[in-house]
This record gives sequence, structure tokens and C-alpha cells, in this order.
Amino acid sequence: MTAWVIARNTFGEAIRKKILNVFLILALGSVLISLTFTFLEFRQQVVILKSFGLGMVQFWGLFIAIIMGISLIPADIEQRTIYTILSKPVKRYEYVLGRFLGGAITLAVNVALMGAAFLVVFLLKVNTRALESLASLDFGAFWTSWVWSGEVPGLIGGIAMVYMKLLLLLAVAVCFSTFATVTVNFFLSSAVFIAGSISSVTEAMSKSPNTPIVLRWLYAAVHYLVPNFGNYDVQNPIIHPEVPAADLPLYMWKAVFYGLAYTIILLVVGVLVFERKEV
Amino acid sequence: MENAIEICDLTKSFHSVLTGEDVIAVDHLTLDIHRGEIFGFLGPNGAGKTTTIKMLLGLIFPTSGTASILGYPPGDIEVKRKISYLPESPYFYEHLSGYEVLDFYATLFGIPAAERKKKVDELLDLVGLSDNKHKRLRHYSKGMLQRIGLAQALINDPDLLFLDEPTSGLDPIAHLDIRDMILRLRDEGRTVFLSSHQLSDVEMVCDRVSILDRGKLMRVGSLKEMLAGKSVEIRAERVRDDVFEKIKAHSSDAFTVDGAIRVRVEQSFVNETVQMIMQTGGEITAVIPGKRTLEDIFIETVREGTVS
Repeated sequence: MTAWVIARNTFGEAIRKKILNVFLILALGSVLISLTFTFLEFRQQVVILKSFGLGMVQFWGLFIAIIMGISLIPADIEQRTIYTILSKPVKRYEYVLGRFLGGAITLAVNVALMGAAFLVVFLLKVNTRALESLASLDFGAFWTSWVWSGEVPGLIGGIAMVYMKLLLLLAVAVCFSTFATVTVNFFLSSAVFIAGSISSVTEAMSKSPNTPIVLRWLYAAVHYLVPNFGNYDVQNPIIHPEVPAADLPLYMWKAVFYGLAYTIILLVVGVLVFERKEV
Repeated sequence: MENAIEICDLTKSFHSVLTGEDVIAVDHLTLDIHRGEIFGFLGPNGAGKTTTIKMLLGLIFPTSGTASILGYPPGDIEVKRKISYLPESPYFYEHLSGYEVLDFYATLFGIPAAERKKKVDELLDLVGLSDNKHKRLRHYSKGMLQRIGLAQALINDPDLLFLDEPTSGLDPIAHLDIRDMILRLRDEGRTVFLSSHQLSDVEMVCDRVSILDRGKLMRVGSLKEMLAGKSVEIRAERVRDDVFEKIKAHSSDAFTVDGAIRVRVEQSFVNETVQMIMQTGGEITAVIPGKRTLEDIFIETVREGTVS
């Protein structure tokens, strides 16, 4: 209950933050720009639109997640707002959880808005084409366009995967913010994100006989400790649904559970550190 | 008398990364604060006042020693329901209005919605912010923020209030209002732990005071006793010269004005001086107990500490 009160307040605070709103506007603008890719062949336009749209949601979402995550707790400490909160009947874990939940809701709203803009642009594009095809009695083109409309659930899945990735990054940033300064946290969280995005590389390096043993251990440590952000890169099967792929929904569910488990671990670590933190 | 706060041998040291040394902020502090009193916690900047308050609130942890707040350890969730804190120059969530911020704090205490609304309105009225309750805090003046700070400190009807510089930055009227409010809190049976540099305020409202300097407790006691002077001024006429010379030998300050004498003697020498003057034909015109201000005591205590 207390965590929820803090979460609601965090959300109210975050949606009024100018910098986050700027990112959101830039994201919406970027998605709209994709409407101008008319110089390409139509099939290419759709492929580029899906790739670009999902990419933009992720790109601007990363900024929102990291900027918000690194400052959620330090901002309260720096501005001394935390004194009047922790002197009330608020347990420290409730505070950390509340700030994280508030951030997660903010992130969800932002991703939903960006995703909705992307889907609207996508449907506008393919349905305009469908109507034009129907008008010119080109049933083949109409059928293709109609099939493309059916890709919306897949795209929603893709957006959900982007959200899970950002949620995991938010958890990393909130966990680090319990002991690191804002600047240090920015670099730490970014480094973890990059290392976690090239998990297959670190895994390969940790197993390569050509890598010195110490570096192999280091790569292995990075591979096993850092969350694998690459799990959420499902754009290819979504953008090219015609290419046969493994059971995508099952894979996505597994990735969701993996992300939630990692998020819980990161929050537990953050809470344990924050319990002993002097504010 | 039952104590609201019991502090025993409380010490806090911080490790300096730059010098590699430990800096002692609070040094073996032992202190009791009685229930229902206004206790003045004084000291120059850097004396360790805020550090002590933060330890009592469970915001930071002591290096050694113990403290008990209303019978609970600092930071205990049960004691947090019964206490409140107004930090120095408080900051609140600026995106909220005066009403919303009090509602937020009331929600943290789990106060039901209907009661919350009534309580928040009452408090806004009490601190004179009813007309500005829907204004965002970012548009509040420093004085208004201080008033909101006091209102949030009263949201849970606390038994014990920690007020850190509550009158800082206030105009004279607001200053007076807050001072009256603190007195009213005592009349309602609450305990107030008041940390302030406004010695005149402390002198007017506190029952007991302590003076902290560089983490050490230099003085503690009843304000009345502290302010009571140890010397007495005696004014007399027709005092013989030889008697005046004798008195002068025991006096810290002695002079004549139009043939009358004015001498300042220690309390223990008052009776003897008066008798000496009267037995030799002199006439006592006034015996005035010396009175010191809290400022005198504060400066004297801190200087003594610096010298030692």
C-alpha cells in the first residue's frame, strides 16, 4: 500500500519532467518521419517502417529508462525530500519498490504512447495501400496489404519485448542508484546495457581458446552476471514473419520470466544496500 | 519524569576519504528529553545537531551508543507513527500543490480519505495557506514552504516533533505565528525537540536547553536556572569611603554616580555587603539580581569550549 502511494507520486512527478517529455516528443516525431519513406518499393517501405518504428521505440525508450532510473532515488536524497518520507512510517524497501514501480508505470505509459503512434502509422500505411489496391481491383496487392494488417499482434509483442528490455534496464539503474552517484550510475548502467546486449559475444569470448585465461574468466563473469538484453531482440522474426522461426511466443514468454526474475534480484540487491544507506 | 528521548553515549564518526581519518560529528552524547517539554538543542554550525537528529530519526546510523525514542529504537516503524520531523529548509515534491503534498503525507500514515481531507484542510487553515492550497509548491515562497513543512509535521498528531530551524527565512509575522504554534504544541502535551540558531526564540519558548559544540555536549539544564545570574547589583547612598573600598575588593564592577554607589557582587557576598552598608549609616536603594541572556551563555559556552 505504502509502496503504491509512492509509486503513484513518482509517476505524477515523472510525467511532468520536461526532459522525459522531450524524449517522448522526439520519439513520436521519429515514428512519424517513417511516413516519408515513399521513395522505396512498397514491400521495402513496410519492412523499413516496422524496423524503424520498433527501433525508435527502443532508442528513445532507452533514454527515458536510463535518465529516469539513475535519478529516481538520488534526486530525493539530493533535494532532501527523502527526510520527510523516511521519517514517516515508510519502510525502506517500500520506498525503493515504490520509486521503481512509479518508474515502471511511467515507462509503460511512454512505451505505450510510442508504440501506439508506431502502430497507427503502420496501419495507416498498409490500409491506405489496401484501399488503393481494392479501388484498382488489384486483389493480389489487396491480399498482401490485408495480411500485413494481421501482423499487428506480432508488432505488439515486439513492443512488449522492448518494454521488458527497458524495464530490466530501469531495474539495473535503480539498483545502482542505491550506492552510486548519478553520473557514475549513468556510465555503469550504460556499460551493463552494452555488455548485456552483446551477451553472445562475451559468451563466445569466454569459451574461445585464443582468449587469455584471465580474460576468459572476466568474459564468463560478465556473461553470467550481467542480464542478457539480447534476449529481447526479436525484431527479425517480427519484421520478417514469412521466414520460418522457432516458437516465438514461447521464446517471448521465457524472456519475460527471465526479465522479471532478474528485475526481482536487482531490486532485492538494491533494497539490501539501501537498508544500510545513510541519507 | 518519563523521558520522550533517551540518548546514551551516542557517537557518530564519518570516515574522510581525502584525509583517511575519522571525523567525529557527535561525541559520546548522553541526554534525556522529558515528555511534554520544549527542548532547545543549540550549537554553532557543524556542532552535530542535525547529525544527532538524523540518528534519532533512523536516517543515519550511530557508530556507537544507543538512543530510545518514546521507548522505541530510532527508525522503528511504530515510533515513526508518533513522531514528526521538519527539516531545515525543507524541500517537497514541487509538482504537487500544497493540498496534494499534505494529502500525500497523510496517505503515508494510512489516514482514510474522508478524514484526510478534513485534516488537510484544517492544517492548511492553521498555517494560513488555505488561499494557496491549489498552487504548485514550485510557486511557493520560502515562508510558505516552511509553513507547509510545519503542516506536514502535524499531519499525524505527533507526540514528539523534531523541528530543525523552523523559523528560518520567515518574515516577523510568520516567525511569531510559528513561535506561538510551538508553545501551543507544548500546551497540548506534545514534546518538541527544537534545534535553532534563533536564540531569542529558544529563550522564549524552551523549558530546557543543551549546547553542543564540535559534537560534545557542553551544557544542559533548565533555561530558567541557566539564565538566573550569579551576581547581584547593589545600589546605595551615603556609603563611607572605607566601606566602599572594602566592598570594591569583592566586586567585579564598582563605581559611583552622583555620590551614590553601584557595585556588582557575587550572590554569596550580598548579605554581608548590605549589612556592612547599613551598619555604617548607608542606605540601600536597590538590590537587582543580575540576569543573563541565552546569547551570553551560548557565546560563553562555545568560547570556553574553544579555549579548552
